[in-house]
Amino acid sequence: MDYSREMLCRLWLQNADAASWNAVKRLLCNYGSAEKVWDAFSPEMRKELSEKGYQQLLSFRNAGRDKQLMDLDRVGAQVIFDSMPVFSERLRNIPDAPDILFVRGKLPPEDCPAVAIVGSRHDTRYGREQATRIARELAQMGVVIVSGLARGIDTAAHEGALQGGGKTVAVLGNGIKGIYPPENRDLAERILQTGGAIISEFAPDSEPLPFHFPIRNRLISGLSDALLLIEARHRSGTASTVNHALNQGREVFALPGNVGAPGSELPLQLLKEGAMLCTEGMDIALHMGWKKVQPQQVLKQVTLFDEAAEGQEDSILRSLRLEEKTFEELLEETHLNASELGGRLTLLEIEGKVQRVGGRAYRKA
Amino acid sequence: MLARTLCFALMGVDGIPVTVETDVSGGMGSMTMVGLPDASVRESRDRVTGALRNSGFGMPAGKITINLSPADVRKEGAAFDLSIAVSLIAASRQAAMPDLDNTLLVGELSLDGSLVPVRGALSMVISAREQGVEKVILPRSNAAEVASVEGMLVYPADNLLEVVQHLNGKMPLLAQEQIPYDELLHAHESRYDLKDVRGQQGARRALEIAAAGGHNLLLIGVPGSGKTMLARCLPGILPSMTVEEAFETTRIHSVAGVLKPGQGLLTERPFRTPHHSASLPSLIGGGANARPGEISLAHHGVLFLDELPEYQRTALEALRQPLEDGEVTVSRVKARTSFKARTMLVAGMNPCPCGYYGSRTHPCRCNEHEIRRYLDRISGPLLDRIDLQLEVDAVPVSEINASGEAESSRAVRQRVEKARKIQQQRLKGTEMSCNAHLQGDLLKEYCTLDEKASRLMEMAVEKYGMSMRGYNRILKVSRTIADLAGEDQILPQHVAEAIQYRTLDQKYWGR
Repeated sequence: MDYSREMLCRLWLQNADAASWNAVKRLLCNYGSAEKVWDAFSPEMRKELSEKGYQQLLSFRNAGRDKQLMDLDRVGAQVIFDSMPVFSERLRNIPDAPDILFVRGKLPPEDCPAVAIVGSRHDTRYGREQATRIARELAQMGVVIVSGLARGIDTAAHEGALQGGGKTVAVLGNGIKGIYPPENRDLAERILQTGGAIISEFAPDSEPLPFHFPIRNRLISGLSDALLLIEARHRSGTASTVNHALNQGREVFALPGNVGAPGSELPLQLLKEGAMLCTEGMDIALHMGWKKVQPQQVLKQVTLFDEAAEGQEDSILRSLRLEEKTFEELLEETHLNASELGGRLTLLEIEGKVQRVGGRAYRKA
Repeated sequence: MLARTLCFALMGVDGIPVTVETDVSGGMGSMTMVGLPDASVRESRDRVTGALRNSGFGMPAGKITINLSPADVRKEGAAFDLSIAVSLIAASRQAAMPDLDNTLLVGELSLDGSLVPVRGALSMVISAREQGVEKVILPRSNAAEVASVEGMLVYPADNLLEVVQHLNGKMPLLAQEQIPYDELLHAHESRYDLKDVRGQQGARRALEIAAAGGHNLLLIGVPGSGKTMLARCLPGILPSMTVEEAFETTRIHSVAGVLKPGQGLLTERPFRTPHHSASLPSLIGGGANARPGEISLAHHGVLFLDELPEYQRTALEALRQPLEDGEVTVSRVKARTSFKARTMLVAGMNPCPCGYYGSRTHPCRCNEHEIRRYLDRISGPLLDRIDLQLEVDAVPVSEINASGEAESSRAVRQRVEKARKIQQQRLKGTEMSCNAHLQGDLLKEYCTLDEKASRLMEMAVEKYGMSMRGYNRILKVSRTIADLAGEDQILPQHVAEAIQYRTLDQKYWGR
């Protein structure tokens, strides 16, 4: 792709750290174009920029305009400007829209519905499982899943999208050259392989600084048509994503959790205030009126007595019908001894009829 | 004149005969001690001088030479005090003592002449008996320790004067009666009993299997789920120690100096709980003069490591070899010694740093990354040596308060003993004594599966992605379960029960 001189100068300005962005904007305003800022760049500008921002720009200016493109090329990233047709239409319309983005992979087409799934990094098993499941369901309908590649719910959402064979977009809080947290490098790789994208608006080399994340969050909601909140506390980073979504006019959905659990604070409050309740992917699709998506077989078979046959395995399955039980509870209900029950459960697990979950609890698969 | 007395130096758990030769001759008053004495032995000259004087004897005048022979064995400790003192008295003809050659003299002296207990008395006495020595005089506090040794006349004494009067026949000491091991055995009952454990049926069963097959056990559970209590009950359900086992274990404890004064032969299997700040030498054995470590102190008993991931990684890795071989060889510049270490490892740990991962009542505050790092402190090879892994859940309050008693340790022990007997019969003539030690060809020979059972194993291997080692461990545990059930053949239900104790590998460690 050919970039104009103006674009390269704008790209250069993006290398200032995010704390200097306002100053950069003022400079652009005062000088009229990035090119003019480049030409007029002098120690005078220290007044406008912070010392750090000035030094960063100075070193990149000395390296030359074309060097930065080569650097990006090396990590397989490209830069897109709001003036280009490939730029996300959804992002153009949000307040405080970015005018420059770094992208690895390929942004999904504009007409694809997109849902942001966000939640706490301190997730529970429940939250993680639900995030994965709903992301999978949505992905199977052809919905793009947007999230932040953070630990916890974000990771679960991306994983779910991949399981469902769909595309997913990760918006980073650090520069495009890095992946944070490090254990998600493999996940990032898979996102790219399956035709998804990784996006960042920060200087390509920048670290994941705490104040980046609230800034980044407006892109997560901005890239989506709807936002699904899974687990979060009142005053959390996730709450800022929800606020952005509301400001940007995105529909907000929330998944209910147990009353009293810390992760249920924000979802339950939002539900009370009128957020849409979501327990499965179809809830979102139906409410958003997405015609294209094909409702799959959503009716679950409700069977209560089909396993009422005799036998001990069935007595185990019967007592697991409604909720998960610990080994001790099962002992009591099935009247088996520990040795028999242990063996039976292993058989059922191998057959894929029960699953072992945290502690020493089991549930029906 | 020259006088000789007999004592023993310690080398690991063995005693080496040491002759104390004392020569007093005319000349300038001086005292030299030769024969590689270390600092604590050299100090004995001052203790002996005081003890002699305060017991009514005098320090001989003239040139005194004391030789500890053989001269090339390094001697340490204060156990030589008594033999040095007696030889001085004999050499200076302050008392006539005819029978010195055939009497082992052991004991540290205090300045007033009274005898202070020493470490390693049991080892010295056993080694002395092997050397044909028939009598031993030792401090009264050490008497109980050697009470069960057969074929040895044991004279407990309180002070130096008593010893001298006995040896010259003026006032003989009373020989201690030998106490047969069986009599000691009946006196003991473990303080921790399974009947006090509420609920935990699953864990009780695992404990029984571990005890029956001598399998190492890992307990994973939230804080307060009773991991420590369960582990403490283990010695009570293990079969009683045989005489040989009791002697082996007591010797190690005696050499390490951890026997309580007046403690007789150990009848209860040792239960060692080193703190997780323990250093590698304190766990494995070592120090300048090669003392036994915790794993040897737990010989024939249980080594309980609570909060397993908190131990130093190097210390944990060093446990691997002794767990496999049942023996530690400690090599030092001054000494090279092997200590037996046939122990059952029981480890306790939380599922995550905050402790509540997977709990149904408490939220866990850890993220995936932290949990990963926590679990990764336990290496795969160490995990591979632990046959049984068990998750322990907290017992609900309602059950804690419920009345009624659970099955007692005694009842469980009877089943365990029966299963052990089957194993001993099967492994007769080999060095192994229980299923946990099965290896190679014997494993193949004794752990054959029928068609249905092997089909089940294949399915499990596929489902849980098990390694060859994991497979072998399931075989061993299945064998134990079959032994508990009194079955010759391992049946599918035995395999099925055994598999559940290895599935954590995959869940927590992804192995």
